[in-house]
Amino acid sequence: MIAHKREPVLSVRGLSKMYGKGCPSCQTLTGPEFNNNVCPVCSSILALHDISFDLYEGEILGIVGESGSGKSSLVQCLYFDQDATSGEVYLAHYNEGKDNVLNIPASKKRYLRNHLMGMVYQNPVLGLKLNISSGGNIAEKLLAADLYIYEEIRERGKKLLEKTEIPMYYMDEIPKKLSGGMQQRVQIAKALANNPPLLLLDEVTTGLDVSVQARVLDLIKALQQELQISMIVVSHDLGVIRLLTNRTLVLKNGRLVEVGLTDQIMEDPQHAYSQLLVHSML
Amino acid sequence: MLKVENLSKEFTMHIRGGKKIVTLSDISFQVRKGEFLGITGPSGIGKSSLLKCIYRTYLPSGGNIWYLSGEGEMVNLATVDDHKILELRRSEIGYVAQFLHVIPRVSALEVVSSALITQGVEPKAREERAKELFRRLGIPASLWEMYPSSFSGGEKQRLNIIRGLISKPRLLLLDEPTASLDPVSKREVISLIQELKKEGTTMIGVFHDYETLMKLADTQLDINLKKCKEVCV
Repeated sequence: MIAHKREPVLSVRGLSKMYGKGCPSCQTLTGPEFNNNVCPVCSSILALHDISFDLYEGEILGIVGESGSGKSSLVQCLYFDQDATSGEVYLAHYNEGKDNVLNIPASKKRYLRNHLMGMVYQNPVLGLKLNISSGGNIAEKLLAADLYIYEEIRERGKKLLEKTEIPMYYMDEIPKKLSGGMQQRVQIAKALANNPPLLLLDEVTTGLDVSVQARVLDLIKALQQELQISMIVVSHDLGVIRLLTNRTLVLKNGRLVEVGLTDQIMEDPQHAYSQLLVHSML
Repeated sequence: MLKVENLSKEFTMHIRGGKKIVTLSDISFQVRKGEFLGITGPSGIGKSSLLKCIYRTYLPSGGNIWYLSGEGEMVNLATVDDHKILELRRSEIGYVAQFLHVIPRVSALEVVSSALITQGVEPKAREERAKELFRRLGIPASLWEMYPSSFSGGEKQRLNIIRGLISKPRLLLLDEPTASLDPVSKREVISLIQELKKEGTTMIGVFHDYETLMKLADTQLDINLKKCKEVCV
């Protein structure tokens, strides 16, 4: 029987991200009821405000919302691409979940990125070095995770490319020469290189044509079933969320407006915005 | 094993000016372990909504749904956190929807056998069990590796039932499982459900077909005019 611990792998409490200096009106004059996250007084952008949720082992959590709702800011804060303005984030695999990882030194944050997390971006430019080979990209992540033996790196690279269905002759090819779908596969292989317990996927199929999108989604689903990694999947496409996730967070104007089981969000959305989103599905 | 108290479900359609639709009000009943409860009533009365509230695809608006889990824990399915619901769905509560929601690009064999993954069944044993049920419900071998999107309505429905039954859940919710089946398949499905019942699965089923209900149910809950009464069949 697969164990599903009752202790969360990731706990997020009151996470906020502000672009700008902020003022007392930022919280009271922005949000879904104003349909805006730009403060009318000081023009700061409240990208995320007071976001809290838990992610459990083997769970896939979807994050949906329109452009500018804060979806990408949320995963970027979790991956330390951006500094959160306030809040707490706990990872069960780091010091038994006792430390708020937003407050740890930069060197420890790098350790977490290299050992405990993987990230796949919508734009492969952010996740790959396009001018070094696919195998080299994977090796970079393995070196960062303290694997230094050439043969082992090469072998692991081969296995990862095989797992992500990339023909072996692409191993020494630079990602720049690969198609969009293939680049996403290399990104996924790189993100999985350190066997992370947490994988973050930010709009990974956006911009790909439908058949390529389907293959990337199938790959993610198969990998999750096999490896039981906890995942956060950001997408504005409810079809992707329905296919991949167990639970869903709905964001609007930087606020969390609804959280629930994915089938409940799809069939019985409670918030006006979630209803609009679900009823806008083609 | 399951006790529903004063359950109500109301939909508030914010995008239609806040219009409210009441589908269930003040429903109470209980189901003992190993019992089959048949739910009857005219279309639109809320039979499927009741099952969806128990499975938590719908969020109940009021009332309680007390469920005694396999671990002896009393859980209110109406209010317990999502993680607990997911845990129960993985291990002991199954649901056969009225229609098969086709999973794209997944073969029939995989759709069915994957229901056993969370129970830790080995891949070979999963496939064997799936094939055995395919044979019983007359799904030809030529379709096993095909995508269900290309199946006929009856084939999809049989696949849907197999997927729901294969994991032998502790509580099984069945939403018109025999609708759209030919008489032979229907007989076989009824016999499969009876076998599962003998093995101890508690079931709640929605039926329009009174004859099937008589064959399967121990008790009947008639939801009519938003009122309910329990009668022995």
